[in-house]
Amino acid sequence: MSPASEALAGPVESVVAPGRQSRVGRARVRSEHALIRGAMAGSEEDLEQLFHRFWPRAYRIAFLIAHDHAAAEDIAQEAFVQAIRRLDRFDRRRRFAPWLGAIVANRAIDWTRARAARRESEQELPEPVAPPDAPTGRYSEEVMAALATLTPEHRAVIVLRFVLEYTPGEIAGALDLPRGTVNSRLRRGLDALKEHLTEEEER
Amino acid sequence: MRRRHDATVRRALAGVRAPDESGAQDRAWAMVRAAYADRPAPAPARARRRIILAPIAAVLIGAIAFSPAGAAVKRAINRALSPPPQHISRAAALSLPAPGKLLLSNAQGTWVVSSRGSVKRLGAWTEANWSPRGKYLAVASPGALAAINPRGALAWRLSERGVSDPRWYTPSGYRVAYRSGTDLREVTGSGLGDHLLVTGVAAIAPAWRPGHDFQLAYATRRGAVVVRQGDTGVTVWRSGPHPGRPLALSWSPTGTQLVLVTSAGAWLYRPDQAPPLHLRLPVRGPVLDATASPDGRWLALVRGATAPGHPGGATAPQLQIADLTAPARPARTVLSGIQVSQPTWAPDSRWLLVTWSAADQWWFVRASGRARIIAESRVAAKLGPGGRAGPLRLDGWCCPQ
Repeated sequence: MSPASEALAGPVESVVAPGRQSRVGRARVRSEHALIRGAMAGSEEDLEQLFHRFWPRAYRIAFLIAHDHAAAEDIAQEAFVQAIRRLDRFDRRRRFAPWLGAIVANRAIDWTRARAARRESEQELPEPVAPPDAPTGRYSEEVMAALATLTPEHRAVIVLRFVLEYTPGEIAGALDLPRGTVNSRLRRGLDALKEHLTEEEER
Repeated sequence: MRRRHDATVRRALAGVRAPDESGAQDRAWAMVRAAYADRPAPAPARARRRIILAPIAAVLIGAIAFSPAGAAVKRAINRALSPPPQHISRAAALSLPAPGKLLLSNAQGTWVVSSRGSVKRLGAWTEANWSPRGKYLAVASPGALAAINPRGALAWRLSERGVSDPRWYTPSGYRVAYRSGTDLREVTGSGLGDHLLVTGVAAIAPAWRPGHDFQLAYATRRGAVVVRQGDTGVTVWRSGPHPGRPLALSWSPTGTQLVLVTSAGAWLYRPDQAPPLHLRLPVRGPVLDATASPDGRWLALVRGATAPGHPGGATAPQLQIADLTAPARPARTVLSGIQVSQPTWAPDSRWLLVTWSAADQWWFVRASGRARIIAESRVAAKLGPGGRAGPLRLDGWCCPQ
């Protein structure tokens, strides 16, 4: 499995709900390509394994970029649905993880931009909506606060680089950006994050 | 130094876990499975064409990609050759995939959601219904029927017990029919002349007949359908009884065709035809909910699960769409395995909204054209204060403009 695939795919045991544990747990670990082949041939079991392997990170990517868990759920869910609907067109020489990750990241950027635009244009918008559930995990609050200081475009580059382990070239392809822009966003984003995380660690 | 900082960021990001990952995963899997079951068939012709074109495209891409000016073209070609799935950006916390405004209510109030995503609470009403052009709403509470404008300002109010299912006459809006317990009553659009029309009606919304002055169809508690002139009380037409519990009654946009759905099946009538057309649609129970599309072409049906001993065999819960222009054709299944409810059509009749109450999700299903499903999760939370007070009821999706 490639680094990006490993990064997007969480450990199977950690992402399977109790009700499904036995079914997925019994299944032998199959390659991403075998699962895609099986899903394309109509195997719901292969699809389920593919889903459980790639869903958690897709949701996390959306959450890290959009900073709204309800939106992240929608974004990751829709990305998966669209991916499944187009499985027959998927080029199996490519890796599934970067393909899905790019869809999720682009959706999350679009959603965040649209939310910002709406806040500017609509006066009577009721401030909303989903209560801000606290993310869990070490560093989570600090990381989220640090990420919040970045634009969604910078967040996406950072998340793709350090969560999905994309190379700058792969990020450029996924986000349709020139390589130089990716590098400068990475640098600027990292500088801002480091500053914030260092401050937090020093407290 | 830089590597140490990069490692810090990497570790920090790796430690983040989004809220309720397992719950979100369960909900998403249900939807992905449904989308998989309903995915379009592969297109072999396109695949063959792509193989033939691949060498030519490779030469062209190679030729232009190595020039500086070709970089943008290269990206564009890459995008065109391997397009990511088309996506819909969510412009808001709650957004609609089609134009119009959606009304919804629960025990704590009524809200209107616009297609751009704004959410506005209209007051402490428990039920609502759009006027034909969306300029007013008939709203109900346990002790009153009222008319308000879309900003929530009161136009008129009647004190009445047990009010439910208010319906405006289409297209003029000059009458409002509503149920009060088992009575069917009528009032003018300006809140005057409230009077009893008939007693002993079934617990479903009456249906005004478009293009026929103030003719109103309703179901009796015995399962018969009656069409009555609302102002004079004269009976225009009456059907025999139907098996099952009445669920929905609707007219085609011209008022020529009437559809009744009960828990046991669906029937189509053309009362003016001589002799009147009476057709049982190929729909078998148990039907839990149903709604006809505004253009009169489609009938959305929610079917419950059946056990192995059922005459039709064991089936999962299903959302089906029947084509009323081809009534003999069996309904097609668009979702299976999930117990959805409250099918509600977009004004353009292209999108169907259903609720999955157990997961607090809405699913938008495209009923025509390329199959598509969009989910909206944590709906109650997105409504703000009062949104979580009991089950949400979809009261109508109105008016493209």
